[in-house]
Amino acid sequence: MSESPLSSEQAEADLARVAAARVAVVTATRRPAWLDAIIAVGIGGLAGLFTTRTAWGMGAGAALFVLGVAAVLWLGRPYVRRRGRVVDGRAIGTQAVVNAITIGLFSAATALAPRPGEGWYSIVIGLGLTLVTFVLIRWEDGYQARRLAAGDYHRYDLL
Amino acid sequence: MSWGAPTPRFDELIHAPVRLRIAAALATSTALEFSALQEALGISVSLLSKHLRLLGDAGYVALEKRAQPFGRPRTWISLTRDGRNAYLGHVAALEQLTRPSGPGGHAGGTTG
Repeated sequence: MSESPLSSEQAEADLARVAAARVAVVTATRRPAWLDAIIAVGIGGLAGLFTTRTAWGMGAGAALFVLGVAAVLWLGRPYVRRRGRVVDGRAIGTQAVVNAITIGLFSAATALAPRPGEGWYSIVIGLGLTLVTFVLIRWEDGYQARRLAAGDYHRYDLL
Repeated sequence: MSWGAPTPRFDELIHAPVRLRIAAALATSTALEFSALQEALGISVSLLSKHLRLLGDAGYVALEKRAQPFGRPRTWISLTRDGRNAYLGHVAALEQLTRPSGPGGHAGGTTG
């Protein structure tokens, strides 16, 4: 081991620099919220329009979803400034829970079809799922950011 | 390659404050874009380039220029295996200094 010329106070100051640099870079490279909002609108819109059980509604929902994904892929390119995600068991479990909640809510919401004159149902489903999806996506992104900023991962779990 | 805790090892090259911050920022990723690193650390392009050159000469970082469909190419920076080993060893040495009583609890900074 190399001999360290530092005092414990200097070492603490260096560790504080390390922690601050981690937080700064993770904060600077987080995915913008508006990109997550586009995805959420795509999923919420798909669910809301799907409940109309009409050909045009389902077609419009699918188109909105595809457009949302394409927009995020295209518009989001300049905002990808950091590569690497934590992919250990905890992170994969968290992602799986987020996906399960989203898919479960989507399935439940689209299982029922509103009767004629109950157009509000589709609107409520669309808005509700948009909001829930947005919160879940941001939460999962924040979870990754918190772990990266804290160094809470093994080096080989960063892929 | 070791899956265990890094061996504490003071590294003179990484010890410099700017290079320590660069290494810490790079350790949160598999690759970082140059401008993101510069923005996060709040340092000039020339200063960042100078320190990256030193780290690159030591084999601690790798730079890759990738073309974009539109606009200028973007430069991506990553810690090499040697660079990550050196950074983690240095942080472990710092942590050891702050806890001289012995191997304590798990500290996040040494893992990533």
